[in-house]
Amino acid sequence: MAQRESNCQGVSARMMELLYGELSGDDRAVVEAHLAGCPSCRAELVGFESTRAAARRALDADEPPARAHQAILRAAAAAVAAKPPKPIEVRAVPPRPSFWERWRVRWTLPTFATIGAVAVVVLASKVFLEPDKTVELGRQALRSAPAEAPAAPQKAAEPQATAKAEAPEPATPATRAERERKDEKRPRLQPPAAEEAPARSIAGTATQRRRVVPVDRVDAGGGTMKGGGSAGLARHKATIASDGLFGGDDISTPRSGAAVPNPGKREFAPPPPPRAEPARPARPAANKMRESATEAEALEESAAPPRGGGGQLAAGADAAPPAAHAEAMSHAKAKKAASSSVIDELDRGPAASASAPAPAPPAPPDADKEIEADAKSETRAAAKPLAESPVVRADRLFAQGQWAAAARAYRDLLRRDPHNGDAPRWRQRLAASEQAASATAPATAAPQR
Amino acid sequence: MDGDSSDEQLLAAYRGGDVRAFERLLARYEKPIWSFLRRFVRDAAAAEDLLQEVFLRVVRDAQESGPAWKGEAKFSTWLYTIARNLCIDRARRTAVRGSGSASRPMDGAPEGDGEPETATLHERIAAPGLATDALVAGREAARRIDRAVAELPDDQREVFLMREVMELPFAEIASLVGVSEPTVKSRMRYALEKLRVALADLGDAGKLASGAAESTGSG
Repeated sequence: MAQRESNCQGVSARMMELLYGELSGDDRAVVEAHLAGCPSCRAELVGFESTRAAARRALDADEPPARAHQAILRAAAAAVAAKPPKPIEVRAVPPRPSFWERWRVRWTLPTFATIGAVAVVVLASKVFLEPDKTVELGRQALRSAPAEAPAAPQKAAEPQATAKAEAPEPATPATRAERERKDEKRPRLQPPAAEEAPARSIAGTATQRRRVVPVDRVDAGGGTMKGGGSAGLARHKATIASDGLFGGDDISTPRSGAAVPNPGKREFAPPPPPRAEPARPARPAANKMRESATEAEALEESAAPPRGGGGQLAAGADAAPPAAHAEAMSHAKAKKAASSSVIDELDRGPAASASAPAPAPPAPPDADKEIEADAKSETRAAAKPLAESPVVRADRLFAQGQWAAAARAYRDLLRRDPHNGDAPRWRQRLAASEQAASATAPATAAPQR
Repeated sequence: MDGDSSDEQLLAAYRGGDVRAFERLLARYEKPIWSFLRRFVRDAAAAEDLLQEVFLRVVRDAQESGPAWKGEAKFSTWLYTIARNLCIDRARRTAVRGSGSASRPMDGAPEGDGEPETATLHERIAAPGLATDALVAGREAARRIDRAVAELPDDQREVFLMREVMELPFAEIASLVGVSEPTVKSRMRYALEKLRVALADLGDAGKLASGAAESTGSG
């Protein structure tokens, strides 16, 4: 009886699940077995089923109001109608691009890619596909790199040699010390080689003009020539150069800093050497000297007696050339001879100039025609190649039969280098030239008489 | 869309602009929701407003880009949750206003019946005779059943309506209400016992109710 009551409590606890069909198969079988033998539990189940059925039927009979139903349907339809009629989908499909846009989009990238690839191939072929050329370029680079480094001292030493050639006179210790002081004071704003280029030209001119030294003679030639334009200017320049206002000596002499870099001193790196500059030591100086010779000729012309001029010279115009005129002519001749000798020296080079430091001797005060002939011959000789040495020139004049000029040339040679090995030959030819000149002079003067 | 389409498929179709899909959803859930609302709030007019509000929320949610219902739960569960929350909100507002309609037992009869609330079923059917007018007896039995349901405590009524009207299993009811499943079963048992007692004085309440239903269906 107690077991049955406990079973009834268990079935009653599961009555809702049994009533609404949520009981599983085994549990349902157990409960139904109990209900078959328990009238009270079965009556309870029947009561619940009757009540539930009555309530369900009453609830199912209730219909929702049609007004609310229609309102809900209208609202649903309105919501769908109010929804944007898929404009987004229309926007989602982009308009068909034009032919040009499609072509551009389709071909822009391949075009640039092709151009880039071709460029890469061309560059690669230039660099990698010509190994000989590439190797040659590399060798040139390697050759030039080490060559430039030692070239700097060479180039730095080159102006030294050039300056020595241009200025063979050794600088005095005082001058050298002064130059070094100036070098230290002067700010090195330019590389040494850059300074040397103009310095050489200035120094060369100044040195040559100082060496020519016809300035004193020109000054001594008479005060009447001081106003002579280019001659005065040349003298002024020569004076400035000799005074060192342009720093001629300082510049012409290569600086020790350029030749031997001072490691303790902050200096510029030596610049790349200039392109194979041949040594032309005396050529500009020779040209300058020819200008000086031309000036001498101009002085000679100006010293000639003016035609119809006033003053003392005009008083004796119709008479024979006075003594003053002869003296002026002799001075002009001497100057011209000196200029030509200096030209010869410059043409010969420093060695020749060093071996012949003596000035040209004054021309013999005899026959003017001979002088004029000599001048003409010298003018022709000046037109000869500049490399002609005085010995060759003297021999040439002797061979050409220009006895007076040859005699003067041999005389110069003997004066400059009396102990030369050829001195006996020069003396013989000098004697022969003088003899021939004296023999031809009366012959040429006879018809004039 | 055939008749076997799930709730989720119908709602997706409606989101795509198919109004007929929504109409089918409405046909599935309009009557139970209405029965639940009318018996839960015990006010036919308020229940009608709430009925529209429940489905309007479904409509609005279907048109939103970020819908509240994303398919994690059953559509029916989500729908009944909306209805229940609306009922609770209305009951709170009514309690604040002091109308007391939320706690007042539903008068039972739907609007328009015209029956005096004072007359009991026994009184109404006693005069013309029980056997003579089965239709009237059935309507009276239904009215008495509505009144008996309305007189149930709220927690029992809620569980009873969810189980009988919405046909939700006990486990789901427990999840919606927020109580344990045995508690839901216990509340259901108490509700049925009270209804049985309330309908016992009607004699054979089941027969009356069934007779009323049959007469309504045939008529």
